[in-house]
Amino acid sequence: MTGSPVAGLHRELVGLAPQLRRYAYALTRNAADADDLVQATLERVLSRSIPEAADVTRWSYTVCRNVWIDEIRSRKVRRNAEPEVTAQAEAPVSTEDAVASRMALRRAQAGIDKLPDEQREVLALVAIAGMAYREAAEMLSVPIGTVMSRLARARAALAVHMEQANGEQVT
Amino acid sequence: MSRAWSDEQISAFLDGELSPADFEAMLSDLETNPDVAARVRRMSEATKAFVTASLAIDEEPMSAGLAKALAAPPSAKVIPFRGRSFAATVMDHRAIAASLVCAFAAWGVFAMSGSVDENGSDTGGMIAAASPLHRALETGATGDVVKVSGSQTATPRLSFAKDDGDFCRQFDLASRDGVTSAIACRDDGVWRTEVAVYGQAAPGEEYTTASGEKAEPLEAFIARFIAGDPLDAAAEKAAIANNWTGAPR
Repeated sequence: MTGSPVAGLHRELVGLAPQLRRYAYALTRNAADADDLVQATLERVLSRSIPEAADVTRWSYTVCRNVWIDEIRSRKVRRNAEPEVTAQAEAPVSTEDAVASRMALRRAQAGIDKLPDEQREVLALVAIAGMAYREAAEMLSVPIGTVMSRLARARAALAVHMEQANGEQVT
Repeated sequence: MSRAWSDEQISAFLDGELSPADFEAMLSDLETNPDVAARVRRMSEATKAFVTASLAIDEEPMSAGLAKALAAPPSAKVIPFRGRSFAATVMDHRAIAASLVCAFAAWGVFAMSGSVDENGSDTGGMIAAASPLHRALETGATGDVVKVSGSQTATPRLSFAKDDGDFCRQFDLASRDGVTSAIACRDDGVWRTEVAVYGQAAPGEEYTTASGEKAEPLEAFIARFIAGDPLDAAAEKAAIANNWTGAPR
């Protein structure tokens, strides 16, 4: 039944999927885990009732985070055993720019990997999911001040990592 | 003169979360104070690096599982019990097949999917209209223990409406040997078993309703097909009074 609420919800989730996938990737740091996480999120959102007042987008992020905490986060073994997405991708190396951006991406990914989970997830909520501080605070059940300090620490740590990596590259 | 901005404030500036007054002050300092400008740029670069790295997954092929979940409208994600129905469920659980077929035969369920009666109808999983089980599903309230034969009982456990408006009921069929938990849906006056699991009672123990691993096929069916919440007592009473016809919502 194309007109059923489930079909409508499915369409909405399909539209949301690319963004959810980036968010999932930011959380899991591994493409296979990210896809597993998004798939599990879709299945859970579709199969359980959504609270009446809930916005589907925000609800989906909440479910995604819960699935990550409950199921995916424990799979660190696999993550550590696999190379990063871009490390195994066949990137064009024909121009200097391509090489430079590839190097920058790898440096960024290494820096992101080092962030504590709670800093990475709040940065993902704000910078990728586009949530306001208040929304992120509600979702994480923390005060807005905590959201602010985690964001600042995440950015600062990432900036330091990038600078160090750039310095090492130059020398 | 510039303010002493914290990293939190610079971060909030980038996210559009500063108060209007602070935002204006930060803008002004950005123009006049190279140190503030450098700090803002540094935090901004870090954010861009984070976003760019997260976008890298856009270039990755999706896993087959996710692609399938996105491509298939939910109606295609059916657990195909109807059609392959009862026999398929039995075949998936060969160890319990004999018990299950016997249990159902005793209560008037046509056990074999794909069998076709003289009118050309698929009788798989159909519950005979004259059977005590049919009566229990038609008129029994959730929780009622309805005697169907000898020491055997049927107990409706849950009633719910599907997206297409048909009603379904989960029920237990119990004997001394064990309990079969099943879900039947009503279509044009006919109750048809969609999924069933059989659990033997542990020696010396009373049977219990299907739970845990055994209940998974039932839970999956409900999760997949239920429209809204299960019927509450009043809605179920109304559905029984209406002979399970009419719009559920």
